[in-house]
Formats: sequence, structure tokens, C-alpha cells
Amino acid sequence: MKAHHMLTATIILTTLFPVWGFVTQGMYTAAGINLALGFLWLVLKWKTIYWATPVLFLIVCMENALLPFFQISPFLALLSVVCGLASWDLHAFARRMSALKDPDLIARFERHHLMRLGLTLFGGLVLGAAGLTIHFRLGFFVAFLLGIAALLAFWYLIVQIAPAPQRPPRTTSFPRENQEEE
Amino acid sequence: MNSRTAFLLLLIFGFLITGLISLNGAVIALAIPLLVYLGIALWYSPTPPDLVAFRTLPLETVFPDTPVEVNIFLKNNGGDLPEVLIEDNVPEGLTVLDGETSRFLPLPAGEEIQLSYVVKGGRGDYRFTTLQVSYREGAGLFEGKIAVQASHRLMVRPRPRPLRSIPIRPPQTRGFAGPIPSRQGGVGVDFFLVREYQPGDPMRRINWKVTAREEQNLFTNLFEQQRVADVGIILDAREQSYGGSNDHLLFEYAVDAAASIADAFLRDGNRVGMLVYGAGIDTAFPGAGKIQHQRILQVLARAHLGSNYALESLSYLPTRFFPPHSQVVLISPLQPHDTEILITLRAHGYQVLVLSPDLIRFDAGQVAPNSPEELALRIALAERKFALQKLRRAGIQVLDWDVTLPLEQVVRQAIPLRPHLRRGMGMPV
Repeated sequence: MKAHHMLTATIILTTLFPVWGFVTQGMYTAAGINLALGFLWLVLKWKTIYWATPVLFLIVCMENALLPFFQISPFLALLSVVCGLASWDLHAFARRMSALKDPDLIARFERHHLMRLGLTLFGGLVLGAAGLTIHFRLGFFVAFLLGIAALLAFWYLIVQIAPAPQRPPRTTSFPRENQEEE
Repeated sequence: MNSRTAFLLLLIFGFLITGLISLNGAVIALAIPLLVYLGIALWYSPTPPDLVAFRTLPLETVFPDTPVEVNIFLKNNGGDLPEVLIEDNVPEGLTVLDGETSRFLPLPAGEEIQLSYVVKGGRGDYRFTTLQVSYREGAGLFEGKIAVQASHRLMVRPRPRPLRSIPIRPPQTRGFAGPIPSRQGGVGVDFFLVREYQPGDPMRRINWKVTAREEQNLFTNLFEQQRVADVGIILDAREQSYGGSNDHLLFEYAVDAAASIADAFLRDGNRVGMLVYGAGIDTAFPGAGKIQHQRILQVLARAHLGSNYALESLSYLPTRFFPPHSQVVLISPLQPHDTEILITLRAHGYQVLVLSPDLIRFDAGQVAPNSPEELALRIALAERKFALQKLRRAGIQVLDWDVTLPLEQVVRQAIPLRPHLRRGMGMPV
């Protein structure tokens, strides 16, 4: 199954990008801890412990948020977050697929999912890199307006996510043919 | 919002707040891939699908443990659904033998899928209701669940055991010919009385021996007319009668016996009604023929043990359900206070037959000799014997049924067939 191999690869990459950053800064202990964390993640994935991936993704995100403060390139943090996001997504996808037995159906799901995930991550990476590269100064008033707009957009997002009321079940007529007394 | 969405929002908030507090734009930029992921998932978030389903079963009414194939057809009349989990709610009590009751798949617009599985189950009235359909977009962040109606009913009826004609003699019969002696002279098999010859009497009915003693008159033999009768069968479904258990195996024997007895009476052409008296009152009004047979089996399929404070005693039995002076058959392990009510029923003119499955022997199993349990068993059996004796003294026919014996054998021992029927069956008279 392609998704499982990709999950393993993304876990390794998620761990290696910060390790590289720590090594370049001479922080070998932190790099070692990070490697141990990656190894633990792989073992827990192998043992199919489902709660492990979200927890380790959270830890990785927290760690990556700290990398810029240690003068480590934020691009490495961005790459690590993108790979972590892919791991988190592929883990949930693999779990959903575990219920399936038909290889053709699994391949169909995988193809569709991986294509969409690839595009999403690429888009996220490009925009994130642009966010790290492009710097410009804004006046206080413009920044304030942008902040308000961001808050409103976030509020709108949460409203959209709120569950919609469910429709009542549709009724169908009972087919009466082919029913005979034994 | 599911837990994954909440988790993603938490991470995004975390990056934003950390970046704002530390005035570090790079940390805020880390939230961008997550926001893109969330935004695309939101863009593709599915709307409630427009699904139509129907269910087919080759048989609607079966006997216990008969495999039945359930087919469900589901059509997507709405837009594309990238991930759909369809789960059927199999009624409790049915066992899935083969096939799949759930399926996870993509469901493009206009596509129809079929779900098939084979079930079997014990006696009961099973109702299939809805399918649970869970749908989500590819990332699994936004999902919903709807119930799609696909109703059907599967009735697993008790299987009546073959039982030969049960001789009964209710005080009142109906106008149609049948196997029950009606206490009226006419055309029949059994000798009834001798009366004076009346014009139109066939010559072969003249009793020449009696005529020879008289000088002028001729005498004719009359035979007892045989008619059909009204039979009301009462199945005791009170929990208390079965030791307070709501799924006692003895009740299944009682239900099978009720089905067998109803079958035997209906085969003889009688009008038979069924009343199940337990958690509530379930009835099949008196009738005859094959349709009535189906009605009775449906009532028995639904029968279950239950408790109802209003129906704890047989004194609330709706006796008006049965025509006056008809035959009443009660199938019950009997409770101590039931005897008085049955005697009252007999006094009201009903011909009462009690078939009593022996709960004490059934529950006792193998009791060690000379143990306290053996003494308790003997006392309980003596009490039961005394109660049954009391019923017999009141003119009630009682069949004490040890369910290890076939019902046919018990019925034949307690109610022997009338001589001409025994002759007809080649049995010793």
C-alpha cells in the first residue's frame, strides 16, 4: 500500500528537517532527542497505536515553532510542519483504508487522495515560503484593518464548520413483489 | 466540527498566538500550510447527500434458522461523494451468516450500489428500518451522517409440529360439519339415541331389534351430529409464570405447542382464536382456514415474555374474546392463584383444556439424590400435582407436559382418540 510507505517517509522527513537545523547550530543533544522522537513515532506507527501520530504531530509543531528562536532556518521548520501535516493526514487515511479489502478500491482511493494531498501540501508550502520570503511594511491603520479582517475570516470559518441541521430520512415505498409465503 | 478539525484549529491558533506574542512572523508563516489544508477541506466539504434506498427480501415470513438474503439498493441522486460509509442496522436477534452489512466506498453522482447479506434468526418479528450513511470529504475534516429509510419486515414464525386431531367436546358447536360431537341427533358416526320412525328416515337406519319388541311402531337409530366448534387458545406470556425470566426456553416450547394445537384445530375446520397474555394482550380474532393460520402464526412470532402489573393475574383475562360455551385451551406453566380463575372460567360454561409445561422439572435438571434440593423438588412437584388435581376435579382437562416428551405423546396419553378414529388409524380400540 502506497500510503503506508509514504507515511513512513513523511515521518522520517518530519524528524530529519529539525535534526539538520539543530546539527547546523551545534545542538547535538536536541538533535539526538529529535531523532529518538522520530524513532518512537515509527515504532508506535508500526505497533498501530492510533493516538500516537496526533500527539507526536503536536509535539513536532511546538518544536518547530521554537526553531526560529534558535536561529535555525524557518524554512526547515516549514518543511517539517508540511511533512508532519502529511503524516497526520496519511495516518488517518491509512486507518480509514484498513477497513477495506478490495485492492482495486484501495488503489482508487489512494490515487485520488494522494493527488489531492500533494496539491494541497504544495500550495501550503509555496504560500508558507512566500510568507517567509516576502517582507513589506504596513502602516498601523492598514495592519489594524487586516487584523480585523483576519479575525472576521476566522470567525466565518468557525461558523462554516459548525454542524448543519440534519435532514429527516427520505421515505421509500416498500417493494411488495417477490414476497411470498413460505 | 469533528476532533480532527478541532485539533487543526488548535494548531493554527497556537502558531498565530505564539507568533503574535513573540512578534515573530516566521512562526505565523508556519500556520499557512495548515490554513491551506483546512481551507481546501472546507471548500470540498460535502453537503447532505440525496440518497434513495430500498430493501428486498425474497421471503417475508420464514421458519426459525432459515437463511434469508437481504438486498439493499442505494442510489445517489445528488452530487459526488468522495467517501461514504454505508452501515445497515441489522435488527437485534438476527445473525449475519454471509455478506457485508457495511461498505466504505466513493459514490459518484447517479451511481447505484447493492449491499447483500444473509441472516438467520430465532422466532420473532424483525423490522429493518434505516441505513446509516456517513459521508466526508477526502481529508476527513468535515463529515456528516444521515439515516436513509429502507424499511422491511421479516417474520420468523414458530414451526408447528405435526399433531393429530385433538378430541374435544365443547358444550356448543357451530352449524358446519366437522369432527366434534355436537350433542344433537342427526347424521354422524357415533350412536346417539333411538326414536320413533318419522317419514323420510332411511330404511337402513331402522333399529329392527327395538322395532321387533313393539307391535305397531317402527324405531330409527339416530347418530350424533359432528360439527365444528369455536376454540380459543390462550398462551400465557407472563414473566412470573416462567420464574421471572424474560427469555426462558420453556416459553419457546409453549409457543411451539400453541402453534401445533392451533394447526391441529384449524385442520379439523374449527374456528380458532389466539390470545397472548403477558406484557400486553395480543390477539388473532377467531377465524378458520389458511389465512387464520397465518394470522395465528404471526401473533405467535411476536409473542414474548413480559411483565405487566395490570395483567399479573388471569382474572383480567378478556373472556368475552371467546364465544360463550366454547372450548378454551390455556397453555401455561400455571401460577398458584391461577387454579381458582380457571375453575371460575369452567363454571361460566367454557370447556377448558390446560396444557401445562412443567417448569419445575425443566428448571430442576439433574438434582443429586438425598440432597436438600431433592426435597425441595419433591415438595414443589407435590404442590403442582395437587393444583392440577384440583383442576381435574373441577372438570378441567389437564395435560401435564414434561417437555422432554413429544407433545403428541402427551396429548394421546391424556386424551385418547374416540374408538372409531382409533380404528381408522389402525390403532387398538
